[in-house]
Amino acid sequence: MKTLIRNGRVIDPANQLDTFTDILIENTKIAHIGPQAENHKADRIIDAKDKWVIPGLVDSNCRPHLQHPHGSTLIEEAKAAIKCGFTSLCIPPDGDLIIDTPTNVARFKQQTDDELPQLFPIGALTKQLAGESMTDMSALAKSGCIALSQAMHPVKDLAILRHCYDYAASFNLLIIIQPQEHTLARGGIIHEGTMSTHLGLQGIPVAAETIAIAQHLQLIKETGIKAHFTCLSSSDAVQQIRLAKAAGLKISADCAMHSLHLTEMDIAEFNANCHVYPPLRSQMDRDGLIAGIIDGTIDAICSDHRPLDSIAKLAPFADTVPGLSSIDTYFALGLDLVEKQGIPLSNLIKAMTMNPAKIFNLPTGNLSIGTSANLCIIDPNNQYQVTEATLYSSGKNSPFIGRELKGQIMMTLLDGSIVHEA
Amino acid sequence: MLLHKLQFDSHGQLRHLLTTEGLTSEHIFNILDRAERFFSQSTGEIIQTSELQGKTLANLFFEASTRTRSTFELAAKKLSANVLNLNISHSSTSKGESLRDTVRNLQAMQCQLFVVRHSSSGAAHFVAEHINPSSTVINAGDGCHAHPTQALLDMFTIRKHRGDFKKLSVAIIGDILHSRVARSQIHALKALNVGEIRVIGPKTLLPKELKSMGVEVHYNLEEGLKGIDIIMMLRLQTERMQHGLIPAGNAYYRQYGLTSESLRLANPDALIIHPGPINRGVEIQSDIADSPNAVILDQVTNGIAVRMAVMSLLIENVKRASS
Repeated sequence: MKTLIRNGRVIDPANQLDTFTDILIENTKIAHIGPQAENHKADRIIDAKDKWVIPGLVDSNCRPHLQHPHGSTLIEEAKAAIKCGFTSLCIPPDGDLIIDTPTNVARFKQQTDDELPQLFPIGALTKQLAGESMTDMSALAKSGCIALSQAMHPVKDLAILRHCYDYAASFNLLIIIQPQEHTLARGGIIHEGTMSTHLGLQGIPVAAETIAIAQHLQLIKETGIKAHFTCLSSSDAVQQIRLAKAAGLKISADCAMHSLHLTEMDIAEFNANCHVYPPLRSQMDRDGLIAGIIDGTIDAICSDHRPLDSIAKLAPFADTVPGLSSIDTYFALGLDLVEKQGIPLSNLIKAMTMNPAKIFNLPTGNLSIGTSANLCIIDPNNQYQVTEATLYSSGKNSPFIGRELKGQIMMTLLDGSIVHEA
Repeated sequence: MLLHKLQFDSHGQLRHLLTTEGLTSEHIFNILDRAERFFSQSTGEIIQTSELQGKTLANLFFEASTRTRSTFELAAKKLSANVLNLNISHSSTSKGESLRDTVRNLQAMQCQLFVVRHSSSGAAHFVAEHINPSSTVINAGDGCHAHPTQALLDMFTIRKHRGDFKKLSVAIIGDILHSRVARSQIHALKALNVGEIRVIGPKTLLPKELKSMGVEVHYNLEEGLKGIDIIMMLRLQTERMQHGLIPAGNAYYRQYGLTSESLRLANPDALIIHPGPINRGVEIQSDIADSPNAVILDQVTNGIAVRMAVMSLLIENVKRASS
């Protein structure tokens, strides 16, 4: 089976490619890129005129499983993710099924199939994420975990954390850190700032993030572990990572797409869809995160997708479940950053594809000859208004409902097969 | 400043009373003037009217309260409304779905006025969002966010005793961080263009971005009290000591308590108000609370008239909107 994608603007930062050309796919792999691709006899021709062709999106932190009881299943959400252009999802260990044993990895994998994006489990650092005793990390890695993480759960003390990092370093494993000093975040609902002052909601100080980062950086330096920081929320955090990278630490970082768009001010009159963790911070923090994307301090942009049912948000603000549904608006919000915030397009595409794939050592995120044909075709000019009905995710908890956005995923190919067509 | 659009109708009139933030001086004076008319000119007592005859007020208290609930009840009865008192323990309604269902049930029982007190900031907004157009919500205190009728009765009391707001220097003293009263007072005082607002307390009891509310922040009581005309005390909840925000014992009283000594720094005739209940010897010296310049009991009486004014205004606005 030969598929030819013609006339598209092919953007592939991994190969420094941004040009109008053709892509030939043979069965599941990319076979050829270039105008001479026309000479090959194709079984199927896709016209990508006025469209972009980019690697399939790689989400470094996606929670398609619902913590709330009346939500959708992992499979339903993964199917929605395909329609939003994602071909690879990295899944933290803190779902309904805590990924802390090879058996649970196997059970997790049973949920996947060919029509879904590739689901890459991140294993738990400690048993049941209780923060007390380490998991069999090497066994988890062998059974398919791409990294290890404590997700949002605290570790009981720093001695345990240090042992975990030392042990993981023995097997050259990657650690994912969502930085929070939970004693400082305890009881907090939103960013400690203007809105917490006005609305009388308990604040989460920036120090809850920066103190945690400082501690982790020290342990990373001492143990030599490879680490990735996820969901950064503050400008100070970006600066800490910038300095640590300059000092030569083997670290990388991401932030959530919504943290590049929203600030605490968007909470306005208790908009529960803006109740997220880590919290939306100040305009200065948002600017700091954007600067981090521009100078490469922040390597990747994740969705931090948390679909919730309507009941989860049906309460006074502080009593609602934190999280927002974000896969549907992810790409268009990215394009918006290019147009309005001056983020170079190549930085954006890197942060959505190549970089997260590199961080997690995944064989995807680029359009190199011989790799699996995971890609999406985008109409960058298609403008639409976000409504509940336009969301493929069954989580309608999006603060972007009502916004006009530009950029639509027209087609997603996974291993050479068309798995979504708008 | 936040707009709190939810509490206004399309003509900018009050549809609910959720917060004093976003109110104009016209909104506030309208309520204060209306409240004044509920005092008999001959006896000075609050009059009985039939304005809300046939209406039902639901006192929806998810947090224990005796005084606030009673004054709402009295105010409603003075207007000849029926009153339904519901003291709902928080545990049975911690889920939002049941809070919404409670409100829907009460609407089915044809309650038109909902007075809501809840431990979560934003609860009154939540009820207002889910209520039908013929009903109206009065926030009787939501978490640490707002307590607008308390602030309005304070404004009534200040106007009654001291007149022109523009000339006044006001100090608010105590636990601002957890105080819905203080937040509502600040917004109301700002709307009334008060001369100066100072906020005094230890840093642990002041919200981080307090200056964004347009006030001057003082950590030192003596400094903050200099030349002040109105002293607005707040109740210190002793549980704050257990949470490690202030030292145990009488350290707070020594640093921030209103005593005859610290009072000397304020203007000689400084008016003292307090939302009650008073912790004598914790935030205020006992005999100061009983002194002629302390109008704490007058505030309670004024609270009835101000709440009558809010109820009659809101019902009038709802009626006008539906006709």
